[in-house]
Amino acid sequence: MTIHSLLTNRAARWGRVIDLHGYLVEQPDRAMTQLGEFALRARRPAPYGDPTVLLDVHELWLPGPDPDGLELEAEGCYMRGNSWNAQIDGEQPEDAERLDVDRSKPHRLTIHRHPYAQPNEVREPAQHLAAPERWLQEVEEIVFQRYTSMHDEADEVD
Amino acid sequence: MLKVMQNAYLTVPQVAAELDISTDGVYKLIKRGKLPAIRRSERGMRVSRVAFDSYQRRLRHSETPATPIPKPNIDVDLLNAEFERETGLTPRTWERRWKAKEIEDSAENMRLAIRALTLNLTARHKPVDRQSTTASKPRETIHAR
Repeated sequence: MTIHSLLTNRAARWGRVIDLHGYLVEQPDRAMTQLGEFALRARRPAPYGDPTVLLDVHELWLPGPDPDGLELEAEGCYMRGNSWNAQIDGEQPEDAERLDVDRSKPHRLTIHRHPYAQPNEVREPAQHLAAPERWLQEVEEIVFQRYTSMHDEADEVD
Repeated sequence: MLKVMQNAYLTVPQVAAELDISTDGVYKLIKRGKLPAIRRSERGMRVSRVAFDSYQRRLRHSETPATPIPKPNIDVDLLNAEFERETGLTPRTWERRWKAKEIEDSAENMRLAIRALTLNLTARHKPVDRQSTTASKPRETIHAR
């Protein structure tokens, strides 16, 4: 496998996830400039009064095994770094749920999140969120909580 | 008194009624990952209407549509035209030729392949019956961290 096929498959995987949740693809916010870089922008439409979300996904993949044992590997490559940012109905950093892979950080914080509604400086370990499917589900749960807090929904069971 | 959410989220029975299937059928869709859901409590799940719309589009795409699918609110045609202007090929042709290895394996071409894939994916799942997707003003991402 080449890094090119890895990135093609990565695009397909992200494409499936965002389509599952109803997001629409847009042009990335900045051009991809180096080999192994992947960028994606997608927007959650808000026709029903729920919060709007703007996703910006950036990843950098390099050939070889993960040197730090983080298990961020696929097709003979590893994720060198990433920044997945979901801007939820606001413009400030605390309006974003974000997951970063930053190998300059200590091991327990190499994969970390900047939680929604928390100050910029807050970082929490987030190894369990390091998959597009899991992370976007987390974002959707935040969107739901925000929606219910805005609309004062009475408790209702199935 | 129970209050029904303002259409942004559906309960499982509401989804079942819309699809004309049983609630067990809806739970199976959720379990199989075909339909994403938010678990509120042991007995309460919600499906976002946005995700439900997308599911219905996928259903329609797998069938022969009886009526033409309305054009999307986002301007996919414009993005496709821009791609074609830059490359001389439509995104669909680019994707086909890339997969057939008829296009040189370079970093730039790979980036174009990713772009073509995402454009084709969007085109395959055109939104329908939407109010304006730009009802909320687009915001720029903050890259302050």
